[in-house]
Amino acid sequence: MGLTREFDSGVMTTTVDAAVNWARKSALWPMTFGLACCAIEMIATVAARYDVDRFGAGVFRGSPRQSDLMIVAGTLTRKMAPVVRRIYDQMPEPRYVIAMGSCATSGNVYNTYSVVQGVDQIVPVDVYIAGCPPRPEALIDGILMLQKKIMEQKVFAR
Amino acid sequence: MGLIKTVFMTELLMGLKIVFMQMFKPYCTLQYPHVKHPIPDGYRGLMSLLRYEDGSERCVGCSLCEAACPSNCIKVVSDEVPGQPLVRYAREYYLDISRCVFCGFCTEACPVDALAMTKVYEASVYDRRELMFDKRKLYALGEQFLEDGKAYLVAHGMDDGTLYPREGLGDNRYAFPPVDTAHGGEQPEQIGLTREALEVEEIR
Amino acid sequence: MSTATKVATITVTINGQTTQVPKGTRIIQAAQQLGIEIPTFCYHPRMRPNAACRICTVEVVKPMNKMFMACSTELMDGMEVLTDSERTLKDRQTNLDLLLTQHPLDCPVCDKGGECKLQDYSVKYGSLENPFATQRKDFPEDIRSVALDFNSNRCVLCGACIQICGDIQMVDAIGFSKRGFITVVGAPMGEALDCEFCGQCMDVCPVGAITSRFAKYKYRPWQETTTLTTCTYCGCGCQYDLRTVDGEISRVTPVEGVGPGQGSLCVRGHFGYHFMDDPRRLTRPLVRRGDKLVETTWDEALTEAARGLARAKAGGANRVAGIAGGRMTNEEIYLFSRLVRDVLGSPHLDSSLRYGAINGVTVMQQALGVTGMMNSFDDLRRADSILLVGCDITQEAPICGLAVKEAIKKGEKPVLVADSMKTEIMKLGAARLVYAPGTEVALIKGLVKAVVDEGLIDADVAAKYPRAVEAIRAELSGTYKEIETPTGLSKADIVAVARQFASARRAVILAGPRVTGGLKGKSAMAMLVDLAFLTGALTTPGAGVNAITMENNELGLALLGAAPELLPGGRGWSDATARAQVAEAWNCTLPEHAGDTMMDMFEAMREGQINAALISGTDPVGRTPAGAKVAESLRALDCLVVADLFLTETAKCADVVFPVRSYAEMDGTFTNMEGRVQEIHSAMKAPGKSRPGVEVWSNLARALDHPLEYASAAEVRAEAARLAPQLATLGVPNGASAGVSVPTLEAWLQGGYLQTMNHRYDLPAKLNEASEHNFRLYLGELLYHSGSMSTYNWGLMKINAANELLINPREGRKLGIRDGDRVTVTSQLGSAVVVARADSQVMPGTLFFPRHSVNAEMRNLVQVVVGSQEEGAVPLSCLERVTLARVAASAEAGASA
Repeated sequence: MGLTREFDSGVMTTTVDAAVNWARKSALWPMTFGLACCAIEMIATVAARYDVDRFGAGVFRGSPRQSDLMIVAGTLTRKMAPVVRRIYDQMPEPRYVIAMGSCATSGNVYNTYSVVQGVDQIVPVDVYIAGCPPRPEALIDGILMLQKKIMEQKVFAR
Repeated sequence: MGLIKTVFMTELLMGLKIVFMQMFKPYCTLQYPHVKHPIPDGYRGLMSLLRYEDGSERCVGCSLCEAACPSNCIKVVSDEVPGQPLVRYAREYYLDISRCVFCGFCTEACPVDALAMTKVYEASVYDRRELMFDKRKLYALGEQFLEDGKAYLVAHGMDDGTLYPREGLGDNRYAFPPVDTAHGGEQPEQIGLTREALEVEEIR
Repeated sequence: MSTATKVATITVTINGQTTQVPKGTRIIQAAQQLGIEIPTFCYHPRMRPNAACRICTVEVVKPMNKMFMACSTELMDGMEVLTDSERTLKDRQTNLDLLLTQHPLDCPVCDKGGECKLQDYSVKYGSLENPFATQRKDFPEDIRSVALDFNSNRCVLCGACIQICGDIQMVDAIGFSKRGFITVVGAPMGEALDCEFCGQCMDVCPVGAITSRFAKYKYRPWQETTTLTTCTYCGCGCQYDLRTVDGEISRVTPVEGVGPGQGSLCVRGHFGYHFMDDPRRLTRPLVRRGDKLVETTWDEALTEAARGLARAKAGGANRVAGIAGGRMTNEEIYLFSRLVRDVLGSPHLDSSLRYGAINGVTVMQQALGVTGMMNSFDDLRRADSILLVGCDITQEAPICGLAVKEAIKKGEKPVLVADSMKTEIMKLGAARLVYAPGTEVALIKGLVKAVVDEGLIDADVAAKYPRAVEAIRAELSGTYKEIETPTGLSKADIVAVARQFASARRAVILAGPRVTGGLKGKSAMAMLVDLAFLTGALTTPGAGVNAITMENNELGLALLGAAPELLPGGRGWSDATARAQVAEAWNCTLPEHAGDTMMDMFEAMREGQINAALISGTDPVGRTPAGAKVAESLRALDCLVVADLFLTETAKCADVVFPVRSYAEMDGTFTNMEGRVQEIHSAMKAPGKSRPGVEVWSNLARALDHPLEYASAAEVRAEAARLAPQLATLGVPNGASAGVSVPTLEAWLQGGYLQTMNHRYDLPAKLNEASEHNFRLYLGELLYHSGSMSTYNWGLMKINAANELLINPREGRKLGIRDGDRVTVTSQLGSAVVVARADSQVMPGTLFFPRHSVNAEMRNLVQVVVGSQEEGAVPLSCLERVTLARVAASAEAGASA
């Protein structure tokens, strides 16, 4: 993570950890990566009814260089797979991936020659959200789970 | 005029007029996770397996759900209940939620109303393997969300509200509804073809 | 093939499609030819039409407008039939409605769901609302029998099961009881079913009324993967579908019209699939460290085996030996034989043929140039008369037995049975000869003598081959006394049977293991060839003489020359050109002298002249009595390498044990007794680290610095076919393709035959041996088992545990023995204690004990006899059956073992 150093985890560093993590989790800027129908639900989440901006994740960046979070929403085809990997590589750390929906988690019904069976075959995934498509609340629940995971990370201490 | 425009950024304010007007309207955002949207009865959420009132499993291991599933995410291993020959049950039942389309075909296919869909939609996990539900987890869901499951079945017309086994059948038979006759639902007793009338006797 | 008379053809129209069919065709057969589906419940292509279910109704438009049953109505010229008219569909619907008034909707819990005819027809032709009042039958399901469950509620009373049990299986174990709405199908008097458990009633049932207890609720048709393969038990080589769910065997189902059985299976094929999953299967190679066998890696095991074999070979090529078994595939046998003869350069190669089948094989090869049976099962079905000698066909080769039964039932032809027990087929036979056990050779001599003395010789044969006829006549100058005394038969009985046999045109002889594996087995087989020759059976198409094989690939051993006197392709070792051809194909030199036979090999091992051996697919220690000293011989070896599925008695003596795959886990071919080469296919994952035998021998060859590399089993078969051309074609039996090789018959009759006539008809003195023991112990075959491999199936062991001594009921009563009592059997070699049961098949003075049993004590009671050099074979099995023993009711109930 770049900033790790040999420190004892004292009160000082855990507070710094908490502060840094709080900052990270509260401003998760996702990248628009809607591939299929789950994108509609993602759009619905961003809209006024289920406003995801309340959690700081409402600023959807178009460029991976400016985003922390990639929500893979939809079926990942083999043609798209190298693109996903390239985009993931272009994201600066700390970066997180959410696999939204059944297709991104496991390929869903499409156990065929052209569909990658789960986006975790290409990029490491932090949170899987099951559903077809998951409700906007489920996506928010997933983002909240990701925020919880981020809070438990250690930045300065091993 | 140009000075006012530059100082007060009037064109900006013109564009933001709509935005500021919206500030005073009542907001429609649902404050999830503190407030949850009411879910209708027929909503297709996570699957669950139900039991009879006396606690025995409803599922007879017929694998019709497995056959009906479009994504082949159900695996049923059926067997005889140990100690009760001829009584069929599902020894192992796996439902891969990560592959599930939530179409409800399995619930429709189930002949004993063992499967029902709950209103649970929050199924996010850190590890994908947690999304492979086994029999234990499905029955636990069924216990926890029994009312939701029942309501689902009623909403989809799969049950008339009673989830109890029918009286009068042998204990090696599962509950199955009698067949409607063309005479408007009369029970066989009324037509005179009772077991006594036929003098059916058990073979040794 | 058959002399078919010219059949007239007629023109018929079905659903607007016109076609030509032979006269006598029924509507359903013509419709099937055109690809039109007519629903049926009780119809079966191999049985007479029952016309019980009435669902195959079709509308005939011309010449009269009427509804007929498609299964039983023969077509007339110019007939017009509609199978989908409104009237037909309405009738079908009503039929299904009526069936569904009583049929319980058990589909979710019924094993037939997914492949049920009633289900399919209800969806296609049924009505959505049943107009009839419903009253479900409420009988409890009958689960008392060990293998089959009968649910009378689901039964549609088509009678197909009863018909197949009566017409094809000819056992009549089930029938209808009571009448009307409460008719049920089951064993008579409501008893629990205790039959042969062939399972054909289950196969033919259109609904789930008869289901298998072993596969109860364990599968659904849409979960199963189907693999067509060949059975691994007896020499019939039936083909069936092996079904697996997620790589585990679920059940076995027949395929109608495919293979020698044409869709019939026996209890072994149907329910004998549990041994593949048995926890005793070997999963890792084992090597000997001191007293114990420890698990190791393949590399280590192969290196050690190669080292041991090479060390022994360094002392001389004759210091290594190999024994193959009849359970191996053709490809495995070929590689094994090449390993022993080419790579290790040793002539000592023998196999389980030596237990008796070698006699039948060599005689048939020398006399007729045929490896295996010269008739196919179809020839049996169409025969005019069948003579069974020493052949309990329904127990040993049940599907061959069904072909014989078809001749009896359909053909209404006489079957003449000669045996030492009152076998099942004897009850159906037209003539019966019950002789004393072990006296087959005397009986056959009697039959030949009767043919010669009574003037029953075929006129053509007498005219064409007078020298051969005279030579045989000269040998039969004695009296009937020498035949009557040992066998206990009268001259009149023998003459009557001979007369009946000689008068038939297409007359077939079937010789069983008691002939080929009996005293003077080779001569006995040669005498049967004489019998066939004299009565004209050798020169009539469709007639002939045959010896059955017991193991599934014993004929593969014969084809590939797995015996010291044989070479691949059915030629003898003494044939110099054949030897040169094999040497050229393998690019090696073959020694001039043939190697030792199995018993000589064991003796050489004890004397230290053979130091290493390879054994696969057979269990000599477990098969032979202790008197043969096989275990002693094997332990005297420096290096014994065994490849097997289980840790058999032989494997326990080994220095290196290789785990190999069973027939369900690899590809290959088997050769059945007809000479038909049939494929097996891999259906499931092999346990642990076992490898296919082909791979094991290839790896061993590589470890011995003489690589034999192949890409697949098919490649091995292609190479083997260059030496044994019969392996190139699949699925064609001897009878249909080559038949009798006439040039060889001529050569045999004009010259070679006469050279071996000497001593053929001399009866051995052992037949009349007296003894203080007044019973004869007979180790024989049971229907429920095949060899010892089937005893690893918990299913078959549940049906019959193969550990009971069968005694004649009257004698049992005289000695005060009841069913289930323990008795002591004593021979001059020792005694054993077993459980006894009365069985009316056993003749007075005889005791029957199943050979498959793992009971070593009973096995060790018998002597071993080594045959003469001329006989060539070692009849190990014959005296296993004829040792005399004394039986007495055991005093204490808790006797040891």
